Amino acid sequence: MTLTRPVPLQLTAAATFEDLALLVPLDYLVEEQRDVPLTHGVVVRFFGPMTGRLELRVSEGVTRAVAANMLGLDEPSEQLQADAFGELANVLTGNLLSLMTHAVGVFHLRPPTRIGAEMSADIPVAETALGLEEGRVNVRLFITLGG
Amino acid sequence: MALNVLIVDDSAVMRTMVLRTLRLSGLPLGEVHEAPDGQAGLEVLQAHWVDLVLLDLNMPRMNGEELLGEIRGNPETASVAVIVVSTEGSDARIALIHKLGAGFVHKPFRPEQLRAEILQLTGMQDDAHETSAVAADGSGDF
Repeated sequence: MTLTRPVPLQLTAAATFEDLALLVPLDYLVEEQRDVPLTHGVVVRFFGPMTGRLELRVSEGVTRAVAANMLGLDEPSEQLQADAFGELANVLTGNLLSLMTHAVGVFHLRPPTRIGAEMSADIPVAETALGLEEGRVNVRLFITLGG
Repeated sequence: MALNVLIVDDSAVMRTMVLRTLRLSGLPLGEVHEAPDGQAGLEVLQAHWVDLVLLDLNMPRMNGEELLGEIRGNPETASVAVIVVSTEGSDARIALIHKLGAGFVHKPFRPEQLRAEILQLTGMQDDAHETSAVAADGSGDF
């Protein structure tokens, strides 16, 4: 599918990390961040005026920082880290879709689901990378129908 | 007056964040109940006195709009203050929420946003504000 307008993926992703998890990502990667392996992934599938999915992957330590800041805990459990990471992906997806459709149309989001850190060969309609302290964030948007 | 609150969201993390934000808002809280979906929320409302419902939209079993309809359709709960807390961006859907007499706060949100919406909806006075509860540097943002 070809989009006629640019997707505000980078801005929305950075704003979500900042507003929800109090983490301020860079909109570029420095050399050390480029080689950091991605270790955790989550997908949010959506249906409505467009159908597709948003995949969010991060390097080691990011999910802990996200959960710690969102919940105000020093040592969040693995489960809380996964839940907080999923909720962040959920909020990011909802806000991104609102921006893309100018608040027209109702989307239904499936609950966030864990995925592997390996990326599929599918080609996203938009992709962005953010630097986050010593780690990095990768976001990919796939749209399969509608729009 | 301390508010008895019901937080309805299928995400345990978001329920925790909403409660944390409520506490940071400085409003007096009484009993706090949580429910993971609309059906469970309805059961809480039938068993407890609740002054304020903070409600997500997209949930299994019974979604937020359905629960809001049930609340407004029951004379015993029709006047309960309800605020929808969601990433929803559809103008039409938000207009429907307002038409049903509920407030709306967009995720992510700050304690002062939630506080302002609660004060407006409940008609509570602002004199209970504990200014120290809200971090001046905005570190309580959600």
